[in-house]
Amino acid sequence: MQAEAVVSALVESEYQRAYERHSADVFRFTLAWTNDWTSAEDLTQETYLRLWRHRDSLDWSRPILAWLLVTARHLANNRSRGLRRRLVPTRSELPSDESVRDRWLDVRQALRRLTPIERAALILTTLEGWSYAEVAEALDTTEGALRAAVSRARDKLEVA
Amino acid sequence: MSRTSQILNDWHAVARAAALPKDPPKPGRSVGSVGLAGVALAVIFLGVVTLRGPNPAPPGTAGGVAPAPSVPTTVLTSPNPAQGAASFALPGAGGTCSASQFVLGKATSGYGYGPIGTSVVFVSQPLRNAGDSCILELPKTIGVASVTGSAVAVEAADSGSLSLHIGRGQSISLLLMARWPAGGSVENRTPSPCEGPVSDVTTVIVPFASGTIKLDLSPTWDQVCRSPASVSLTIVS
Repeated sequence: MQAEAVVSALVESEYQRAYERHSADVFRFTLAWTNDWTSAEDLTQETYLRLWRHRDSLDWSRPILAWLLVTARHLANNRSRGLRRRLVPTRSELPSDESVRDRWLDVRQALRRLTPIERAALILTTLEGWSYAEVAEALDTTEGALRAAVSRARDKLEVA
Repeated sequence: MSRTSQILNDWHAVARAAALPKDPPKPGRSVGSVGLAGVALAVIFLGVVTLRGPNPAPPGTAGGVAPAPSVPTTVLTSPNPAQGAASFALPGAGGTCSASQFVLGKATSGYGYGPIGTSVVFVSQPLRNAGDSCILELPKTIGVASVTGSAVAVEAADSGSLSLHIGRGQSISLLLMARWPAGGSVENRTPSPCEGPVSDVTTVIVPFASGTIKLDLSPTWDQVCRSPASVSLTIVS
C-alpha cells in the first residue's frame, strides 16, 4: 500500500514537473516540425495526454524529454497522414498577439521551403542549443544526416 | 546579419511568445475534481497515513537502518517573528545529513484526489547533495507554521524509506502529502480525529540530523493535525 501511494504521488508530481519543464520545448519542437501554430499547440497537448496514459509504465528516473519529442514526432506524422487521407482542411489559428502574428506569418512563409527535418534540425541545433546527438535521437536519424539537413536548410534560406 | 539569422531570430521571438496552458492535460478529469481514481488514490493515501508497516531496506543501506546514536533537538523560533515570538522544540532526524549540505530546487505542488469531503495536496521538493555523502533519515516530527506565524511540531508519517544513503552530488526529492477535511459536511460521516489542528499552514519545517529546511507552501494547507499524522513524508531518489 505504501509503495503504491508513493508511486502514485510521484507519478503525479513527475507528470506535472515534466509539463512545467518541457511543454515549451515540445511546443517549439512541434512548431519547427510542422511549421503550423495550431498543430503545434494541439500536438503538445496530445503528447502530454499520451504521456499521462503511459505514466505507469515509464521509467521516470530517466530524462523524459527524449520520450516526449519522439512521441510528438510520431503524433505529428500520424496527424499529417490522417489529414492527407481525409483531405480535411485544417483549422488555422494564429498567435493572438497581433505583432507576434504578423511576425509569425513572415517566418512561416520563409520556412515553408524547408522540409520538416530541415526545419527541426536547423532550429533545434541553432536556437535551442540541443546537441546533434539529442536531435538525431528525437528525429530518428543520424548525426551525419542531421548536419546535412542543417546545411541544406541554411542554403535554402539564404537564397530565399 | 544573414537571411538565415534573421529568420531564426524572428522564429525564436515568436515561438517564445507562445502562451501554453498553465496546467497539463489529464483526460477525463480536472484538478480538484473527485473521480474513481481520486477515491482510489485517497484510500491508498489514507492507508499510508494510518498503516505504518515496516519499511523496505532502501538501496545503498545495510538493512535500511542507519546509526542514530542520539536525537538532537533543534529549537526554532517562529518563521514570522513579527506575528509571534513562540518557539518550539523540533527533534532532529536521525542519520548523518545536515540541512546545510543540500541545495534546494524549485518545489512543485499539486492537488491529489480524495473522497468527498477530503482535500489532498502534495509537494515535491528537489534536493541536491552538495556536500559529502550521508545517511538521510526521515523525521517523525516536522514543524508547521500557520499564517498567524505560530509554529508547532506535528507528527509525520514516513511513507517511504526510513533511511537512505545520499551520495555526493546526488539529487533526490522530498515528497510531502497532506490531507484535511474539506467541502462541507457529509451526512453520516464521522469526522476523523484531529488533535491540535493547525489552520492555514504556510510553512513546513523539516529537520535533518542537524539543521532544518523550510518550505513555503503554495497552495497553503487548510489544516494539519498534530496527531494523528495528517502529513506524509517520503524521499524519492
